[in-house]
Amino acid sequence: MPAGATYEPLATSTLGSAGTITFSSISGSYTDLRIVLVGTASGNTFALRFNGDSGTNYSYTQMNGNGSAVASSRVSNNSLIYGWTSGTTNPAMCSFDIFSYAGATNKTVLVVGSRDNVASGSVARVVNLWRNTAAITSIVVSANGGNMDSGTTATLYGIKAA
Amino acid sequence: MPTPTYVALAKTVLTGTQATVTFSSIASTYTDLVVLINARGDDATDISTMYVRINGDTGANYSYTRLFSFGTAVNSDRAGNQSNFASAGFYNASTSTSNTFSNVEFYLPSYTASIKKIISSSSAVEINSTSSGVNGAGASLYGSTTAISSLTIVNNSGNFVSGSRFDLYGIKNS
Repeated sequence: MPAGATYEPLATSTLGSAGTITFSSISGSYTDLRIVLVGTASGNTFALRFNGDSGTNYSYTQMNGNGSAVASSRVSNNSLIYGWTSGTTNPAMCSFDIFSYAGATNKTVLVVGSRDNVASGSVARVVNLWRNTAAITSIVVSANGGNMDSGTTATLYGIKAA
Repeated sequence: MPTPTYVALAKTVLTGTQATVTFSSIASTYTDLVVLINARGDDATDISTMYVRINGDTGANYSYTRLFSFGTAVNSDRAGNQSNFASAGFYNASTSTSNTFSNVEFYLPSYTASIKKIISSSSAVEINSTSSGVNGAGASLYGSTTAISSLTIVNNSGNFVSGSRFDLYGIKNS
């Protein structure tokens, strides 16, 4: 018997004007979630918020390179899932892999950030933790809590394990 | 049965040495493209690099930024207005451990959109060497708003050897 699809697009949205993107009523029938984000946010940092939680229940550790220097840092008790810095004119890509999003443990998110602007650029890998054991049912995609630029696209995928 | 949305579009497994591998006539019916590579080179070094050429464009229309661990050091470099290639994938070549191939992923989101194209890359090279082995990440910008219809994977200084594998996938967002 052929296997069912294991990588399914659940929702996609392209901003017609500056704003945020919300994915709500997310089914709990997948194993992992993945968000692929392409666009700009006036140089601000792409970010996620789960289930409307604006408390200081997030933390992250990141490493990055900007073409000449490398760095690593971390922040505890953050109020968002930290993505990576957007561009201002040329599109950047940020992917978020959200593991075991419906499980009864705290949630881990791996971010791959890729931005290049001919004269500058940066690459990052970020691991985030959301200290909450509830299933994730809604996600707000933003620029550090504020608006992303018009034309920015975010797609939510569901991934099923066997 | 659910509609497939992560679709294998093409596969190339080399039966001899080859300096480039091209995927042409790529359909525009997907949202993103992914190229997964398992490869080894024949140039006289342990670590080599490969690049992506888009739509056959050899103009100075590419730039890239890389973050990579190389042995015990961590580095970042970048270049703008490059010709022939985009982004960077690290892999192992002829002086590295035998029977060992490296893995490279190129992710090309929104490849048909009328925007400049960002490419994300990841490289995994482990060759049981005391001095090298690479964990690499890259971002590249292709400065054209034209839809991508062909991709050429280019060995920077030699050939890909027999057994190297190149897989192209299309991802739909609806």
